[in-house]
Amino acid sequence: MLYRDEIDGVGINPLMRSVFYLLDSAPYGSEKAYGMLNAAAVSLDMEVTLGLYADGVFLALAGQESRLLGVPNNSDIVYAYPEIRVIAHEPSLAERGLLSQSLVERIELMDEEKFQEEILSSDCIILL
Amino acid sequence: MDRVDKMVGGQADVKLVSNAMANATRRKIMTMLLEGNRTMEEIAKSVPSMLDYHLQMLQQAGLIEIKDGLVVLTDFGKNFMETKTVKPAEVKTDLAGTRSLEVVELRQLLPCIADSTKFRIIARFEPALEGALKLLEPLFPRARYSERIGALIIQKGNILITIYSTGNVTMTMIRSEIEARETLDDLKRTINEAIVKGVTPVPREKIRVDHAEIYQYLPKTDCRICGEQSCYTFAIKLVGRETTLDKCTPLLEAKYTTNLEHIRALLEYL
Repeated sequence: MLYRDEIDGVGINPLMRSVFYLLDSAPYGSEKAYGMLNAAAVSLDMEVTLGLYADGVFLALAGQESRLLGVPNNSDIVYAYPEIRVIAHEPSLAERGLLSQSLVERIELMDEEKFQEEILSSDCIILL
Repeated sequence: MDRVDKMVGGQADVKLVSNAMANATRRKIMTMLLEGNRTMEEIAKSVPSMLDYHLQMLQQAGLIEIKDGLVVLTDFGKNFMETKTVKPAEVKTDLAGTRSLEVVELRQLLPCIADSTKFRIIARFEPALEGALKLLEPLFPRARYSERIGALIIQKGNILITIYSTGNVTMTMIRSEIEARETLDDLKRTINEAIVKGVTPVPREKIRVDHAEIYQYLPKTDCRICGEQSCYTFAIKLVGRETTLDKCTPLLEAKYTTNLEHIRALLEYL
């Protein structure tokens, strides 16, 4: 975990104001996405961004149905926490043929450069 | 015109438009084109990388055309930029033709992080309100329609309700499933009455105050002197009138004098 040091007039203060969670694995089949969404939800006193990358972009698909799998619906969590900014790496969506599918409407698509800028502008990056 | 007809017909095309416009760079290009036609070189000054790719996405969605190196909005693209709807038929000036809502599902109760005694829920209204959603804003004293996420955000006490154009509804700070159902029923009743009788605007509150705004002026030290888990929780409870400002004693320090005044002013509007 990396902190951006800030001078608060007294000394170096490792104050963290923004966090970027990077999800690069599929939303079902492991607990990674569920764990990351819950971690993001408990970080809401900071500026929280969830970045969907590689197979993580499947979380952007609208109309997810997880009842038959017997696991929580992760897209419900995306809807339930509008404070979490969710961005998706557009080249990953394109590689998987998902750009012609309905996506969760509040997710912002970003190309390579912008996605990297978002990561670099956060005080901290968390990967599982 | 053929292109417009084709665009409004297929569901797949709606998805292409929606996904094309979910990218900030492409929205920037569309805004530039709304002001006037541009050459590719002119656009490249503002979009230095991946311009071909972005233009291709906009072309596939039927929003732009490229003629002799000049990029222009199609009729459909112009209509989209003026109305922000994929289908011209979705542009609504009143609620005529809108069907009454039903709560079809209350899917999930998740604990509220700020207060573990409360929940967040997700529910679903049918039919989806789509273009009519924006018209409902005046029905609520504290509500705003967000163009960015295509959702109506309503504050009711300390409950925050978000209605998406697709019919999904989320609510925060709910005490129980009973309260969730009651809140949804109230919401449904208000909207259905407006569908039958027309939208009667309610008085707007002059200033909208929310916990995030108050939080900006708190010390943000999470010292817990007030008895809450964090300054953020304290802000939420202040807005919900579940605590009082005097419990935050660090605010009495000289360095927070201005902050304290700001918070006092904001609390006047609750």
